[in-house]
Amino acid sequence: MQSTMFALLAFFISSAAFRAFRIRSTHAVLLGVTALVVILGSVPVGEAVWGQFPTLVAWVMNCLQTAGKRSILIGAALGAIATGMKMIVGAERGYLARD
Amino acid sequence: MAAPWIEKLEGIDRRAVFLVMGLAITLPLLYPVPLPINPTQPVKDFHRFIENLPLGSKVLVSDDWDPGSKAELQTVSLIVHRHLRDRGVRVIDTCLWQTGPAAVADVLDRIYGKAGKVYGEDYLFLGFKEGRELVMPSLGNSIPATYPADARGTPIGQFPIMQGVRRLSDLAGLISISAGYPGTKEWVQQVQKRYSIPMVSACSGVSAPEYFAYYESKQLQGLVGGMKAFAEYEKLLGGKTGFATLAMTSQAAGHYMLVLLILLGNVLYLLKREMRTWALALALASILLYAYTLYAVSAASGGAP
Repeated sequence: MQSTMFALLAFFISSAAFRAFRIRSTHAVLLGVTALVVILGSVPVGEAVWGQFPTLVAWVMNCLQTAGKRSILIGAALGAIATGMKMIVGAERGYLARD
Repeated sequence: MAAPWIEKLEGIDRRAVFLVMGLAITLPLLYPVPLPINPTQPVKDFHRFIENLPLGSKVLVSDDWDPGSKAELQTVSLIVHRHLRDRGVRVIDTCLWQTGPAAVADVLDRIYGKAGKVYGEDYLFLGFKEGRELVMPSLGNSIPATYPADARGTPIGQFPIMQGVRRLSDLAGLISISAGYPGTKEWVQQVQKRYSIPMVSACSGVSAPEYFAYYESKQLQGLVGGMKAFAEYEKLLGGKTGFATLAMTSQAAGHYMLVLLILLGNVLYLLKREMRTWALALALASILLYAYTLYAVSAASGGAP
């Protein structure tokens, strides 16, 4: 199952990237350039093109990616704490099917 | 209003994209291209770890993977066991994944059995034990108490390889070949520091970023993560081109095809929005990038790509 999912991913992601990965705004350009650097630098060919590619990819993964991942985790944890507090003080009653 | 050919190309049948990607992945497997592969430090450290093991020393290899991750983990498992065999290191193998033992037994048979190594003397397969990370400290306390018998049901005390081995600290090292949970992370947390056993890891590409923290903290003395690292390890071992290097060529072609599709999609998008100058600039930049890539690969591999 896992192998099949990953094998299919290459095909669906290529079709989705062709159709949906558009540089519509400055943020999209930044995301696009970062993605291209990581994709190209993650294979040996990238190193042949430019020797510093692996270093750049490592920096993106260790700094930008890790910071983004941590911020998502912290955001989700704060959200869970806030929801928990609301339930404790009775401000959130959705779980009791009440408003 | 965009030209009809732009609309047509943008709305191309997705099966055509699948076909192009399929060809990009499969053709390099059929017609291999030599790629410049330079081993990175974590891979060199992994290689050095095994090279420094004394002849006849004993290690625990935990093959924690199953057929679902066979494409990646069987590849590296074969390479690691071949390296251990060629170095004359004796291997005690376990598997903490319920559906993994048959695939692991196949690897051991191919590497040790077919090379004439003696089961129970040069290598031993303890098989599967339920309990996940609880099995790990249990092995640290007593291997015979955790695994009274091997995968074939023979009491492990009967095997010469188990002489003088009571617990993990009696071994020269621990090699975790990990596809996820339970795997390298749990071996580090439960065993590495507590029983002061030198440890290295070979893992799937998606797990590697998480395990790099353990490599940085020296809890892992070497790390081989993902197909790129497997190819680097294969290069360090020398000899003929192996499957990891071949698979890396295929993966590289897939990556470059994906980037080409993204660039093409954006050129069409810019043309559709009448931004001809930007479209032309992007198209030229893409052509230059791919032309230079071909040249660089050709120069680095010493022949025409």
